[in-house]
Amino acid sequence: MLNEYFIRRVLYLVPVLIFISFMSFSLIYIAPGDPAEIMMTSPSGGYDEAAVEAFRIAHGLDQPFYIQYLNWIKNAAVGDFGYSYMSEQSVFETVLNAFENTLKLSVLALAIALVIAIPLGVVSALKHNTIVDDACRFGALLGVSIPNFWQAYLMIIFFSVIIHWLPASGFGHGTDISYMIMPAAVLGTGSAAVMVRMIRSSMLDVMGKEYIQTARGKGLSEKIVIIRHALKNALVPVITVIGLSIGFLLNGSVVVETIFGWSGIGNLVVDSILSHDYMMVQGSVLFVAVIFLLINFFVDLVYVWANPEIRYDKTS
Amino acid sequence: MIKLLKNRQIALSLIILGGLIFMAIFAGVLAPYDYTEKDLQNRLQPPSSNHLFGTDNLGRDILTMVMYGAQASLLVGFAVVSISLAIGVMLGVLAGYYGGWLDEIIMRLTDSFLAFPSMFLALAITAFLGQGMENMMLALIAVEWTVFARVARGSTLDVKTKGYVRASRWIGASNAYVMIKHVLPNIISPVLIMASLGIGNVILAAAGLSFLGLGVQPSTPEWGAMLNAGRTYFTTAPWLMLFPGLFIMITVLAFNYFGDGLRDALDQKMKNIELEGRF
Repeated sequence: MLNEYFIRRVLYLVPVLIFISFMSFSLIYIAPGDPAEIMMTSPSGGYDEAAVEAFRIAHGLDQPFYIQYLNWIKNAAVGDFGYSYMSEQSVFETVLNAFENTLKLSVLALAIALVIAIPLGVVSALKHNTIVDDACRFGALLGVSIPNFWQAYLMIIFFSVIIHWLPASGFGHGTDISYMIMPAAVLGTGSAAVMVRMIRSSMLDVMGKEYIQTARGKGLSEKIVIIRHALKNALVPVITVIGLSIGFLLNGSVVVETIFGWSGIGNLVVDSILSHDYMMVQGSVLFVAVIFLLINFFVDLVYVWANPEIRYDKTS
Repeated sequence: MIKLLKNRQIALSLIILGGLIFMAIFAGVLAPYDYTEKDLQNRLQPPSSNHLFGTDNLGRDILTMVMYGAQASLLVGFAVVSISLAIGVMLGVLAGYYGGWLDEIIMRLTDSFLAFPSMFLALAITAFLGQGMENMMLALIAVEWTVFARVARGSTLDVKTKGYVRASRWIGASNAYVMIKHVLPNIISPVLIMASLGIGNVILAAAGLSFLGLGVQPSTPEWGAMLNAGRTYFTTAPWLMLFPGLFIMITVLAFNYFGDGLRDALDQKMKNIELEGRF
């Protein structure tokens, strides 16, 4: 049963991978300018035809579309995403390096999110339909409605400009945690808002189950019932929340890393777009998509593994 | 309908949304100044009785720009969601209704779009198409339609098993008739809920792209673009960023609050559709 599900899910990955690679590759073709011309254009505006032609040949841009695609995919499959037109650095290495930094930030953000979301979600469910519950639910809605870039600046104004606790932006060699706190907090509070809702509804669901009544009937204290029986079971569906949060964190990284000057993948994509570094944009987008696809795939498997009774609709 | 309006949450959010839409439509009448009017004598003025929200780096009145900014944000939100809804619902209903290979193709296409974290897909598309409002809207449609396709497909699968749909086909109704007469009316509530939450998401994403300088250009009044322009002065003149951000938050919150209220009111089962925290 699980094997069959596993095989089906793996087979679904194939067309999706082909499609996303094709989409990432085609992006260059929908761009208004010719990369060779853009690269070879001098600041004064003119460009040398011969130099443009040489650049095209050097980068294989003179080949037909499908050949370029096949070459690109063949190289991408072994981790060769080509070289940046700008810095001449390997795209894959740059992307990998940036992704590692994003991962660091995301782990801290996820931890912050869980610390906020689990207690709030549980309290919200236990005080179901009271003012406490309403406040938690409204807080969660507020959390997903605040623009993260705005929240980031409010935090900088408060923590850096007014009370001077934290550096306003920077990377601090990637090890200094004081540079990570604010960006991680912005990302974390946003994800927490999404999580609170899921933990709440999952907890409500579990609290209505028979085994909770049984546990209570046995005369166990309410605290033990909640922590040992309800929360433990309620956290299973929360695994999917982590999958959802990865998407949230990656999306947030674009703006948050740009504001805080954190050298992660979001910052890399924005910088590459602004400097027309097409190879870098293409490589980063494909890399992020593949990682995101695989994370969701594993989250789904873990979820099914933890809930064997879940019947998945065969056609989806 | 009247029952819905008695719901406090729905009524409150509708009042706020009504106010914002009114402000956007009548910005030309309500705004105290002309948004193109530059007054270099009064640059970066803090909020005062002449300029309630202060002035920007070119001496423009921020209250006026915030009012005009509502036009851009709401237009983008409504337009992107309507088009995405039309595309998504059509594909989702077809996939759910016919099943088989058509369903496979449509769903794998949806999966492929969903494989990209939405902000990266939107960024990549705007980056390669070039900046500007229309391209930004196209990018957001590419992100948004999948939500509707999935919701519409799921609801269609549900409706398809109902007795009256089977009966209707049994007495010889055409597929098109069944889809329009029976399937569509039954999937309206989940789609409306997703649309309301979707507008909030789209407004946030659009503001984010404009903030990065990849969406609406700074010359047109738009909340995200205003925040971008205010970045330089955020320590000395924080009101440049405070008010546009506040309005983005109020607008997005109102749409989310409305969608949330609608979900509670329309269907108990729908409580399981969680907010898609995509942006």
